[in-house]
Amino acid sequence: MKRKLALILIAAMTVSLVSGCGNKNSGDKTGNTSALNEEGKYDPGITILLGSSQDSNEEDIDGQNSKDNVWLDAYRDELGIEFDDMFVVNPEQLEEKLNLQIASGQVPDLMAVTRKQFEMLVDSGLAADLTEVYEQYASDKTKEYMNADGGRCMEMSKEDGKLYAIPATQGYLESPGVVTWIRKDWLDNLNLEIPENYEQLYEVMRAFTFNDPDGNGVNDTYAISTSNTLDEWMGFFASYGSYPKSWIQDENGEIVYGGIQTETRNALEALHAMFEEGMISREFGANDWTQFIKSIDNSNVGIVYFAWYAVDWPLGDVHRESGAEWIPLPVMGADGTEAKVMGNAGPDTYYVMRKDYEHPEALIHMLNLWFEKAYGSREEMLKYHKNEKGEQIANFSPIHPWLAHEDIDYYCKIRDSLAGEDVGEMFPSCQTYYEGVLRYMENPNEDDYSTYKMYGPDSGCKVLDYYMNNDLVLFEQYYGSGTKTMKEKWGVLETKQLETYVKIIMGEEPIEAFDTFAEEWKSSGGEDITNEVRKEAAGK
Amino acid sequence: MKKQKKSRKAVSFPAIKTQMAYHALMLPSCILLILFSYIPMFGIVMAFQNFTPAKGIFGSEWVGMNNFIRLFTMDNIQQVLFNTLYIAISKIVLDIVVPVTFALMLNEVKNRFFVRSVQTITYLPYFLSWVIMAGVFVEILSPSGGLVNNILGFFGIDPIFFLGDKKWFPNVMIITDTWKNFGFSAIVYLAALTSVDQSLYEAARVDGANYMQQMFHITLPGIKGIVILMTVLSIGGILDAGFDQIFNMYNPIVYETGDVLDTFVYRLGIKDMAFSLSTAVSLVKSIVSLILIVISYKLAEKFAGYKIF
Amino acid sequence: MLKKNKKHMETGTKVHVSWQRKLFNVFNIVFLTAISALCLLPLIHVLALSFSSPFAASSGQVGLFPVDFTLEAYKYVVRNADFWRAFGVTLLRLAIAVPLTLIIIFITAYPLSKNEQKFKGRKFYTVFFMIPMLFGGGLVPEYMTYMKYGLIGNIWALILPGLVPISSVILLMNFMRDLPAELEEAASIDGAGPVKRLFYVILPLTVPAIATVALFAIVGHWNSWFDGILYMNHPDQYPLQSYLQTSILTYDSRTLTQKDVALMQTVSDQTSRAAQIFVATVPVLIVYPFFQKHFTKGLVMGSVKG
Repeated sequence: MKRKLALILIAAMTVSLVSGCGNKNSGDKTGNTSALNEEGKYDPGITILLGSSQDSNEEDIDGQNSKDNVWLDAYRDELGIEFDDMFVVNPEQLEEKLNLQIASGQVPDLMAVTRKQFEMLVDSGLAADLTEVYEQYASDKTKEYMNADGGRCMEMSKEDGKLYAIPATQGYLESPGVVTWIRKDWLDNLNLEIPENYEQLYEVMRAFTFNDPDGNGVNDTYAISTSNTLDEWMGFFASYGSYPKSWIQDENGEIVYGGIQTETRNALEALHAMFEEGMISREFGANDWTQFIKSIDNSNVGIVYFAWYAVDWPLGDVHRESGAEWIPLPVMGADGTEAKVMGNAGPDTYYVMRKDYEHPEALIHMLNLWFEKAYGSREEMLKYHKNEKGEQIANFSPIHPWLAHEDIDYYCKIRDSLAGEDVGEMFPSCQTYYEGVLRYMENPNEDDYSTYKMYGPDSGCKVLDYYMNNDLVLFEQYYGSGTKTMKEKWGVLETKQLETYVKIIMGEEPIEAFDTFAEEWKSSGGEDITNEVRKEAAGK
Repeated sequence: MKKQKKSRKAVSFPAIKTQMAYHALMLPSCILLILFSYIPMFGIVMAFQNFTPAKGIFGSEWVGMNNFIRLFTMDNIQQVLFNTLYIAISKIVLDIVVPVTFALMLNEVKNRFFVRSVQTITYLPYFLSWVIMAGVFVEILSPSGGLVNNILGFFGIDPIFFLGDKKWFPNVMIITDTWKNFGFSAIVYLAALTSVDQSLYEAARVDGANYMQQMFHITLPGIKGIVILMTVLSIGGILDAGFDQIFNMYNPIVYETGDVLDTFVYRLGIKDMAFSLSTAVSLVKSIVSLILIVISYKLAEKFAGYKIF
Repeated sequence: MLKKNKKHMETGTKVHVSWQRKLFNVFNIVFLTAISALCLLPLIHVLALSFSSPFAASSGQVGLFPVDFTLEAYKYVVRNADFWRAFGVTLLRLAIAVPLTLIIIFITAYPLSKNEQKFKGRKFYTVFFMIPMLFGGGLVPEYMTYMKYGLIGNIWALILPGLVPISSVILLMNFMRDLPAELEEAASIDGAGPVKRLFYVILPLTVPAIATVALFAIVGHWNSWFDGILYMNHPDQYPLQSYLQTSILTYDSRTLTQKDVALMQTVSDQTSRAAQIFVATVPVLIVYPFFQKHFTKGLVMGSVKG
C-alpha cells in the first residue's frame, strides 16, 4: 500500500514538474505590513532570523557556500525572504547555544531543533501554531510529499492536535539492524547456498564458525558479533519477534516495553546456546564499536545486521582489503515465518517558527518552494538538490525535509527499468545510480560496487522494499523525549537490562535471571514508565 | 603627651575623609559584584520553580521543594556523587602527598641552580589550560599510536584506551591533575621548609641525630602547620572534581565513572534543558561547600591561627 | 655570624657523610630529574609531533624527536586566519582586562587590609565578598542576565564578569597586611591622604604580589575558553582557547560516540593540532620568566602568613 502510494507520488511528480513559482492562494489575510504580492512574493521583503552553525572545515560546492548559494537566491528572488543570523556557532555548539537562548526566551524566528527542544518550545509557548497556515498555504505537492511516510512525521509534530513544527521528514527504515549482510565469498568457499530461511541461516552460522570459511587454517571465525550496546543484534532479536529496545504493541494492542517480553527471553536463550557452542566470540560483551568493526575488518565474522547502506560504510573496508563480498538478506523469522523489523523513531529535526514572529506562513511558502526546486525537473534537481558529483546542495537550504523512502523508489525504478519497463524520467541521482548498476552488471568493478549493492536488483533497498510490500515494518509506539519517570530512572534500567542480557548470553546467569530482571524492571520504575507512556500515547 | 594630642587632632578630622576614601575605593568592585554576581544569583529561585523559559523567573510556577525531592530520587545522582567524591578526594590527597614529598626531596638538594630549574619546570604545567592539556593527553594516551601505549607495547602490554575505558578514566583524571598541579603546590611547602630554623638541625647533628631522625623530629614538625592548613583549606573543594579537565576529556562511554557534579549540572541544564533541576543540584552543592568551608576555616583558625579574611 | 658558623659546621660534617647519604643524594637527583622530565615530556612529544610528517605522526613513530622533519604544520598554522583572529581576540581581551582587573584588585585590597578599627564597615564588605565565592546563580541565570545587559556576543562579556577575582584580592590583601605599618603612618603624618599613600607608599612595596596576581590574571584570561563558547555569537568572536577547544578537540566530547572516537583516531590531523597547541603555549612560556622572580615571594607571602 505504502509503496503504491510512493509510486503514485513519483508518477505525479514526473508529470507535474514545475508549475511556475506560483502560489495562487496567496491571499493577504494576515493584515501585516508585508504580504505576498500577486507573484507570490513578499513585498516589501521580509527577513527571518536564524541561529545557524558554521563548520570551519566547510568546503565550497560549485563555488557556493553557506553565505552565498542558489537556495538563498531562490528564497530571496522568488519569495522575497532573506535570512539573517541571530548567532552562528560551530555545529557541535548549536544545540547548547539554542538551549541557552530558549532559556532566556530569546529565540530566532526559524529554528531547526531536536525532539527535546521541540517539546520545550511547545511547552513554554515559544513555538508558533502552524496548523492554519499549513492548511491554507501548503501546496498539494507539499502535502503529498510531507505525508510520503504515511504521515507519521507530521503526526509527531503535533501536540494536542495542533501543528507546531514542520518535520524534516525521512524514511523509517534507515535504522541499523534491519538488513542481514552475509559474506557471499564465504558461502562460496564452503559451497553453501544463500540461506532462504532461518534454519538454513543457522546452518550457515555454524559453518561460518567451524568450517574455517576464510580458509586460513585457523579457527578464528564466529557466526555473529556486536558492539557492547548489542545494537547490532537487533536484527537477530527481530528473528524471534523481539524488540528489546523499543516500545511495541502486544497482542492486545497495549503498549509494552520490548525488553521484558517473552520473545526477548527466547532470543536470549538462542544466543546463549550459540555462545555455548562457540559461535559467538567470548569478548562480545566488552567490544566497543571500534573492536567490533575490527572483528569485521579482520574477517572474524561473516554475518552482520546493519542498515541498508552499510555496504558502503562500515563494510566497505573489508571489501577493499580482503575482497569480502557482502550480500543483503532480510531478517528471517526463527519460526520459519517472515520477521518484522522495527522502523526508526521519527524525524531527527523539527522546523519551528517563533511564536510572535509576524509571518509564520513564510515557513510554508519556503516549504512549497523547497519541494518544487529540490524535487522538480532534472535541471532543477541538479541545481538545487544534488549535483552531478553527488554533493548535497540541498543542505544549503535552511529547511530540507527529505522525501521519505526516496531510495526505495530508486530501487524500484532501477529494477523496473532493468526489466525493460518504461519508468519515465528518473531523478538525476536515480539516473546516476542506474548507470552505475548497469556498469556493474556488465563488468563488476570497484567504483560501482556499493551503488550496485545499495540500489541494484539484489540490494539493501530491495530488502527494504520487501519489508514495505509485505507489511513487515513495526513502529515505535513511543517517540517523545522521555516521560517524567523515564527521565529519572531510564539510565539505571537500561544499564541493568544490558548487564542481564550479557550475563545470560555468556551463561554467567541462567535464563531465569530474565524473569527476575523483568520483575525488577517493573518494580523499579518500569511499571510507572509504561503507564506514562500509555497515557501519553492515548493523549495524542 | 602634647605631641600625641596634636597628632590625634590632625588625624581626627581627615578620619571621615579617610573612611570615605576607603569606601570609594571599594565602590567599583562592589558595583561589579552586584551586577555580575548578585543579580544572576536571583536565578537560584529557579530551583524552587518549574522554570518555563517564556515566563521567566518572575512568572514561572512555584513548586516548593519538588526539584530537591526529584533530585535525590534520581537514579544516577548517587553514581555522580560517588564519582565526584572519589575523584575530588583522591586529587586532594595526592595534591598534598606528592608536593610535600617532592618538596622534601628538593629541599635536600644543595645546588641552587638545580633546585630552581626543577621548580620552574615542574610548575610550568600549572599555567597551561586544560584545553591545551586535554589536547596533549588525548594525543599521548591514544590507544592507536599514542606515546604511552607505544611504550606499553614495547613491554608487550596491549594498548589501553585510557580515555575511553570506564575503569581507567577517573584515575587518569586524578593522575593528570596531580601531574599538572604538584609543582605549583610545592612552592608553598618549599618556602615553609626553607624557613625552618636551621639551628635546630645543627643542634640535632651535634646530638648525633641521623637524617631520618632529623626529618621526623625537625623537618616534618616544622611544616606540619602549613600542611594542616592546606589540607583544611582544600576541604571546601571536596565537590569540585575539576570541570575544565573532565569536560575536555570525557565522553559518553565513560559517563558512568567520569561524570561529576559539575559536568552533570552542565548537561542537565544546558543539554537536557532541565533548568530548574540543574539549579537545584548547584544549590545543594553550594550549600554543602558552604558548610564545609565554614568548618574548615574555623579549623584553620583553630589549628593554624589562619584567618582567611 | 650564624651563617659562618653553619658553613663551618657543614664543612665539618662533610667528612662524615655516610655512604647511605651519598646514595640517597644520587638517587634523589636522578629521581628529581626524572620527575622534571615527566613534566616536560608530554610537551616535548607534542613539539616533536608538530615538526613531524603527518604520516609519521599518525603511524605512531614519533617519540621525543621529530620524524621526517617538516615545517608544514607551522605553515598551516601561519596561514590559518581563524587561528590568528582568535589570537587577536585574546590579545585584545588581555589588553583591556588585565590592567583593569589589576587596578580593581589593588584598590579593593587596600581598604580590606585595614582592620575593623581603621576601616569601619570592613566586616560588611568581607561578607559581601565571601558570598559570591560560595553561591552563583548558575549558567542559565547568568546567561539570561548578560543577555539583558546586552553582553551576549560582545567581548565585554569575557571581561566584565571576571574583573574582581576574589582570591587575588585576598592574596594582595594579606600581602598588604604584612607591610610595616610605620611607613604608612609616616606618610600620613606628612599629610598624604589614603589615595596618595596607596599609590606612592603601598604600590612600590606590593610589586611582588601584584606581579603574582598579574600572572594569575594573564594566565586566567589566556586560558579561559568556556565563556567564549558560551557568550559569543560567532566563531569569529572566539578567543584563542575557545577556538582551540572547538577545533583541536574536534570531537564534541559530550556527544561523542564510539564511532567518532574511532574516526578521530584515524583521520586526525595530529601534526597541525600539535603545532596549534604549541603556538598557543608559547606566550605563556614567554610571560612566565618575567613574573617568575616575584612570583614565589608574592604567592607565599600573600597566601600564607606567619
